[in-house]
Amino acid sequence: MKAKEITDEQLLDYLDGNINQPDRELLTKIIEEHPEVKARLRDLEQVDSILSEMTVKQTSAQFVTSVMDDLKNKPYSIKKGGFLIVLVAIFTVLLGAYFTVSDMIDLSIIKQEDYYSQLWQYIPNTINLKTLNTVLLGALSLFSLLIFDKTVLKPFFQKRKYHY
Amino acid sequence: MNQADIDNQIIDQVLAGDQSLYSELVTRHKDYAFTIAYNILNSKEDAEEVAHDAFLKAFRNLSKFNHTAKFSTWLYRIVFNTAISAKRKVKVTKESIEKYYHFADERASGLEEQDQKKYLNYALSQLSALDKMVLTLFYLKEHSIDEIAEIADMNETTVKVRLHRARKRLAKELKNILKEEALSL
Repeated sequence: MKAKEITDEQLLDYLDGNINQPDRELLTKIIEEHPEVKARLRDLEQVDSILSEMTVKQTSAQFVTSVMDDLKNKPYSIKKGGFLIVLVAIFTVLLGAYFTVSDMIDLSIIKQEDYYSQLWQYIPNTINLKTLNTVLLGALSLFSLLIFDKTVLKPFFQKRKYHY
Repeated sequence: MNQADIDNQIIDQVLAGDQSLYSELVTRHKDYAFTIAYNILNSKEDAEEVAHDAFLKAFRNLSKFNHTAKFSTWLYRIVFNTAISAKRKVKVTKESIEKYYHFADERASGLEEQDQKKYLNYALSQLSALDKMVLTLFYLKEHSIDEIAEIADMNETTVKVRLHRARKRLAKELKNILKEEALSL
């Protein structure tokens, strides 16, 4: 190991005591014989020494009381965004149900392609747009109920459970 | 019974309905949480607000805490994420070194030691929030490298590399600052 090859990472491992005994002895010898390596180690030691004096800081005296008061008064926050999503979903469902049409989508053009003929034998020739609309609106209703449960109902009932 | 077991016992009782016991958890971890937030934000008021919010978030999600890690590991991750969000909302302003004079350790005896701490605190302020948190957790000596890795959501090797780079950078910054100060005299 040459002095020029000694990296700062090796010096930090040396400081932290994270190297084996033979490497430690070798590094110690290099440090003693090369002032530039010694200077680098000293810089790192200086930082390490000051950082080692880092202490845990204290919060204010009323910190715990303040946290517990907030928990008592507003333990769970009902997300206002949840209301908005549900309103948009209900609005979409109502509009979709009102403006739904009874047209059919003709799939026979696609089915003429030989490449897909084996796949399409299981698909009907037409799809009723009203049926498709109903399925999509049903899925949207279910999705909005799930969002409503997660963002509004669950926090509300947990708040009631933990009220003291 | 070690600290983690005591925390788990308190958590189980809080989840069973004894909400008032949560104050025990807050008391046990508030200073450490505050210190992590403070070292990222450099403001006592902001750090206390972040620590406060973190404890509220931890309470609201207590049922999701799975006991495989220590409560403190989980909590300090919340503190870190909350501090990062708070830091993004604060406008970045160029700060003078003199601001960090007040952050010097009150125990520092000589002027030279106080100056060193002032300059080091200034150099610390130039690091990323993640580096500051990793250094804080490492030097407060209450967490092992793998616990620090869990809090910071990285692997052990990355934590070690970050620690090395942060300290190297601090040493370099300190040298530059001292050179500038000497030139300005």
